[in-house]
Amino acid sequence: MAAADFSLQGAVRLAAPPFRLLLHAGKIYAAHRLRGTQPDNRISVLDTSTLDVRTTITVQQEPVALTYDPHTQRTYVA
Amino acid sequence: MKSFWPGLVCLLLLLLMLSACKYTMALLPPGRDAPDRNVPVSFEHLVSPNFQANCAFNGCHGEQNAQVGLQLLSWETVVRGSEAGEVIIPYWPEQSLIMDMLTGRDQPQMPFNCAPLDSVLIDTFRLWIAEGAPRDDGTILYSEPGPRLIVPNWEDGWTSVISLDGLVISRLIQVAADDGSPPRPVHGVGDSESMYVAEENGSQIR
Repeated sequence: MAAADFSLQGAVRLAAPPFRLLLHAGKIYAAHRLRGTQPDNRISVLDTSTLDVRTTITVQQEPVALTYDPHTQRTYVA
Repeated sequence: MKSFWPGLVCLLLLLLMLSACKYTMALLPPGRDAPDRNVPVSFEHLVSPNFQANCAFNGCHGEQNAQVGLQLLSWETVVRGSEAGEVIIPYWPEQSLIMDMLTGRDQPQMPFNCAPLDSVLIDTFRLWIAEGAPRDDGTILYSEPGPRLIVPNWEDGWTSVISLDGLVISRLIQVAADDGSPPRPVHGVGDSESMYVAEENGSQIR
């Protein structure tokens, strides 16, 4: 079994500070609660293999939590 | 005759304090006045004998009645830590409680009621932890993949990786934002392959 590597592998800058992350099926969902001092309403979806932002999901306002339900295969946003 | 007793009590207390330190000694790296930074520090030859000589007594950090449950008897018991958690964080002597206790940054300074350890010896411990606190076969604590909890510490910029096998901090990771601002981790997720940490400063995921 290979030893874990705790060194930095990469970084990606987003349009607004990521507040919560959800990792599922090769994608990272990054919820943006604020942009500067203004409320944000977006979730960036990144590909884990490249850390590229593949798409952005717009929600009502200030997503503060994310979770995934394997039974319904749906992602829920608070 | 009454004035005799306070003096006797003081003498007995002094003898008691001295007796607690009767085993105190420092086994320094042979022939060296400072740790050799080109040679890995051997736990079995340099670290463990000094724990045995200065700390691993019954009622202190030996087999019986170990204070705070910390037994400094073997690599396994040292890295397991105390009932309050880890005393060593691999690669981070500055964040390891055992270094704070030995240097007096945290009180009471250890060894308890004894003279502080020789500075060369403390440097040897520091170097061993900076090398990952390895066992002599090269094993470093919690290097194998396993269940982990990722805890961002927003205020001080650290991300703590807690091993759910040992329920201790197994690693600390600090990554500065590339714009020079201090790291402000706010959330972390991971799987068996990778860990991802969201940073507020610099708007980054790492």
